[in-house]
Amino acid sequence: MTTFLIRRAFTMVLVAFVVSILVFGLARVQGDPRYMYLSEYTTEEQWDDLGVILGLDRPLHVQYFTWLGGALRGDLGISLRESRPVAESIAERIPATFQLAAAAWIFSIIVGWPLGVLSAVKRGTVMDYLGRGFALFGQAIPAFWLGIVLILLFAEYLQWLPSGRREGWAHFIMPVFVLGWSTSAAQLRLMRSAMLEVLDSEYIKFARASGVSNSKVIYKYALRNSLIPPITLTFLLLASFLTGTIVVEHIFAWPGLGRLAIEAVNQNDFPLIAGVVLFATLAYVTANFLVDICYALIDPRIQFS
Amino acid sequence: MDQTSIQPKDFEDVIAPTQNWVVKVFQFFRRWPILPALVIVTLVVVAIFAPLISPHSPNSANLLSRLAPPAWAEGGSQTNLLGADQQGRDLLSRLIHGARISLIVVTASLWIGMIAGTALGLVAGYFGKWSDEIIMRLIDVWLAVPFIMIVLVLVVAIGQSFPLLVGVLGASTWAGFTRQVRGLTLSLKQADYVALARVAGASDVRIMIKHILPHTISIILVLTSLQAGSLILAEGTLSFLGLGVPPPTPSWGSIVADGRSYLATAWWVSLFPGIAIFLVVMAFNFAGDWVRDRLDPRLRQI
Repeated sequence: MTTFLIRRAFTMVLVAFVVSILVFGLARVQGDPRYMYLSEYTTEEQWDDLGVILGLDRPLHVQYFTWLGGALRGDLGISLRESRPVAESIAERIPATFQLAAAAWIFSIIVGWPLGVLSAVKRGTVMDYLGRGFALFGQAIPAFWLGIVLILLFAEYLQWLPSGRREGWAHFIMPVFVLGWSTSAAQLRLMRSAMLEVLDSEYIKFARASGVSNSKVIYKYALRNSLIPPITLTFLLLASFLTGTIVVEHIFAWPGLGRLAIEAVNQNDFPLIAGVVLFATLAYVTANFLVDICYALIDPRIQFS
Repeated sequence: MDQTSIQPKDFEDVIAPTQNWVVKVFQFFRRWPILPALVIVTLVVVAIFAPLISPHSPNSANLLSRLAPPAWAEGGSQTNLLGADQQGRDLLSRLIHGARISLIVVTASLWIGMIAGTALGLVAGYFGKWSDEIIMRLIDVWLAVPFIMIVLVLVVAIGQSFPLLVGVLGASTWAGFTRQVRGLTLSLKQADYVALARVAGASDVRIMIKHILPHTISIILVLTSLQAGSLILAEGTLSFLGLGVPPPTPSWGSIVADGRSYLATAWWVSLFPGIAIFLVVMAFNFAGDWVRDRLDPRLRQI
């Protein structure tokens, strides 16, 4: 297990390193960073001064490590359009994204797992096919389009639900559903196949042969043992929310990190997007590493692979 | 009645558990994917003959028909069958040309991912040792990279473009090919006929291409068909976010984005491209499952 975790930790550091090199490299590919801050009325003196301030007079690798050191201490530079520290903008957006992702994740478990169990237990019946249909649709409907259709239907036409911003619990309903559907489809499929595998095993057949009641077989013997793959993979799915939150926040004007990223793209604000990308990458690899630890703890067999 | 008794897996297809029509329809299309095939064939034909089929040019703006509704809706006319967008461009023509873009992007990125991934998988599986170690670690690192973030920073740094879109989508697919091909190569290289080929003096490259690669074709085909749907979806998402093909080239995702500001008055602009994406993704997913069941039933999920 230790070897596995060390290996994963190494991967994590490597990913962070590669992404930081990429961001730094692209920043330099863009040309002299002074162009981003100064206008055509800049004097020669100001130009040179800014070069010293930004550390452009030093060798490239020194510049990189200075930049990385600053980034790790929370200094992500100044955004171009808003002229305020990038770290500040990011910090301000974290809660909204976190709430949305957490709510959608819980939704996907609440919907996906029971439907998966039901689908496995009632295999081959209408219930099974309805469950699988729910999963099929969830994985084929484009989230960005689903969001728009829901807004059209429930906000514009029926006027039941609010469509933008984030003010009360009602504002959560549509974003959470849009973000959670495809994930709950994945949860359903995982739960279903894990459950089917266990239901097919010898000890379940033996329990049935010994006359244990059907509900006891399913909920006491089968369900508990089939929970391992869904539990471990559900955390992996949490990390995969990254793309989804960007789309959903964009559609529902949700004031989170994903929307910040799209704003940065639309305004061509390189320092801002670099900061968001670095932060998101760090959060992502850290989350994945935590998942690996959980995985190793829940399923000790991992040490053999 | 006890509905939950377990049917032995081997008899799954022989015993029909219920005679319900929902089940029957589902099973019928699982065995004979007529609708998915129809959708895919339509997509391909429309994409190839786009300039001949489309009633108007996809980019010619006509302010007179600005936000014109579909032909059957109130105020609609035969000139714009599915209506027109905010610049008066014919929606049907844009959808038809959008099909072309989707198909080109998906085909190109699948070829990139397939060739690169298969080559790496062959090398890793055949040579083993350090080359295997390097390639497998590379996959670990690659799969741990938050993909969308890379796309975002690339788009801001070098601008959105067609090659960039194809490149990033292609890069998102290679790892799957490498893993599967490597696994298969590992077992194939132990086979007697490979040893005989080596005794007969065949070079490593020849053994890989002539003796191992042909056996991996079916798994490559399965992976390709399974990934086509998710690539269409990914292309749509990136285009919707303004990270795909630059405007005014019509792409389904970007047409949905165009219509977003006019939802209350012109719902058709956003609605139709989304339906197109949904149908095509669904068709590819069904077709992918079908190809997998036919070529490599071991990959089938229960």
